[in-house]
Amino acid sequence: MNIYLVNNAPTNIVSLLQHKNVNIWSRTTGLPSVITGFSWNALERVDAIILEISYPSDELHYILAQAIVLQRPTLCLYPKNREPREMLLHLQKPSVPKSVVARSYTTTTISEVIGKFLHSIDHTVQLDQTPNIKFTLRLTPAISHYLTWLTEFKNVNKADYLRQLLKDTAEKDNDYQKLM
Amino acid sequence: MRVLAIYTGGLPGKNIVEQLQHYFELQLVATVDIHLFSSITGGDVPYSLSSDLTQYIYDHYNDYDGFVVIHSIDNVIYSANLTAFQFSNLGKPIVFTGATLSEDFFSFPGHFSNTEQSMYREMSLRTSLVTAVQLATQNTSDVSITYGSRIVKAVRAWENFTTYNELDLASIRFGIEVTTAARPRNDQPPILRLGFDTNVYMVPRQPEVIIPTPNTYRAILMYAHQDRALPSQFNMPTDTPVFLLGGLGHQKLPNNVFALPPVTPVTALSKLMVGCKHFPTTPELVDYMQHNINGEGGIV
Repeated sequence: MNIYLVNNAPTNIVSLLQHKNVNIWSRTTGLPSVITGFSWNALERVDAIILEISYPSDELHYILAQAIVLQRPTLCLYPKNREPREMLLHLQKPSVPKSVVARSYTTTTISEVIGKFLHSIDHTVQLDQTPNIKFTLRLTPAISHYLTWLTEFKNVNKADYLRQLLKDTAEKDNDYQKLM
Repeated sequence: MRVLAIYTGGLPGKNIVEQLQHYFELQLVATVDIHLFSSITGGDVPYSLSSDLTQYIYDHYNDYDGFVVIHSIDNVIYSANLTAFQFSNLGKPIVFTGATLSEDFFSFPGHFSNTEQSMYREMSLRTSLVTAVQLATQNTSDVSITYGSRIVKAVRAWENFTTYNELDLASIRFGIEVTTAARPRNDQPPILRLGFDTNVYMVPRQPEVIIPTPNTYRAILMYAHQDRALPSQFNMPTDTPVFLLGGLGHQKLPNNVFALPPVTPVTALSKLMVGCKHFPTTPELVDYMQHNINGEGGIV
C-alpha cells in the first residue's frame, strides 16, 4: 500500500507507518523514482493520504485540497492538546467527502488510530495487537466463581483467557469473517 | 491572501458562479472572489478578450494578491501571451487555467456518456483550480498557464504546455514548488500597454514561401522549423519590417530584416502585435522586439 504523508509535527509518524509495512511517500522519504520527471500528480498513485494538520504549511493545504477534490481516502491527524479549530471547521463542511476523516491522537493512541484507518482501506493490514482498550466487565458471582476456578486450573490470567476466547470466537464466526 | 478568479469560458452549465463558489469553498490558502467576465467557447476566443481582461485586472490590481483566469484550453496560449505583453513590470501572478479537456474532446458518438464527459471535465477543472489558486498566492509575478499538473510561463509555453528553453515556472511534487525560473513579486505598479495591432502577417519560412501583398502589413513574422536560409527568390517586402525566428546560419540580411532571439512563434507574434500598436517607428519596434524578448527582464 502506498501512503502519501505530510507531517510537520514532532510526532514520528514515519516509523509508525514503517511498522505497518506500507510504502511511504513524503518530503523526507521522497517519491519513487518513477514519479520524478513525470508531469502527473503523485496523489493519483497513492492508496491513501495521511496528513498531520496541527502544523499548517503550503504543502498541507495543497494536498488536502487535492485530496478532497480527488476523493482520496485521507486521515487528518491532530494531537488532542493542539486542536486546529479552523481546519476542523473546514473539514466539517458538508461538501467535504466522507473519504476525508479527522481524528485526534495522543502518543499512546496514534498507532491504533493509524492502524484502524489503514485497516479500513486494506483489511490485510493487521490491527494493533496491543490490548490497550479498557473495558469494564461486570460478572455475576457464579460466573466469577467459574472464571476464577478455570483460570487457576489452566494457569492463565482472567484477562488473557477472555481475550483468547473472543479471538477464537471471532475467527470461527463466518458472518464476521465475511464482513472482514 | 485574496485571489480574484475571472471566468472567461470553458465550462458547460448555467450556474457557473454558483458552481465555482462551491469549488472555491474548499480552498484554505486564500479567499477567492469570482467574476463572470465572459463565456466563450475556446475556438471562438478572440484576441480582444486579452485586452478586456488586461484592463479588468489592471482596474482591480491593488485589491488582490493574485489573479486566476479560467479559460477554455483552446487558444489559451494566445490569450495568456497577449496579456503578458500588455502588462509590463507585473508584480503579482496571473494564472490561466481551466478544464484540461477541450469542449470537443469527447465528441465521439457512443464513447462517453454526457455524465462521464461532465464528470471528467469537472474533475480536471477542480484539480487545476486548486493548483492555480495556490500558485496565485506564491512568490511569483509571472503570467502563467496551468492545466493538469504542468505549470509553465505563458511567454515560454510550448506545445502540450511544456516549457520552451527554460525550467517550468513551478512543479507539483510536494505541493507547488516554484523554481528559479519564477520572477519574485514586487510592489511597483505595473505599466499598462493596452491594445495591439492585428495587421501582422505570420508565415512559416518554408520552401517557395510567398507573402501576398507584402508591403501592406505593419510587420511580418517568419518562423522556421529548422535552421535554414531565406530563399533567394523570396519576394521580400521593401518597406515593411520582417522579423525572423529560428536559426539563420551566417546569412547576410537585407536592411529591413531582423533576427529575433529564440522564442516560441506565439510569443513572438504576441509581442509583435503589442509592439506594432505602441511603437510607431521601425527602429523603436526593432528595439522592442530584439531586447528582453520574453519580457522576463522587467520593464519591456
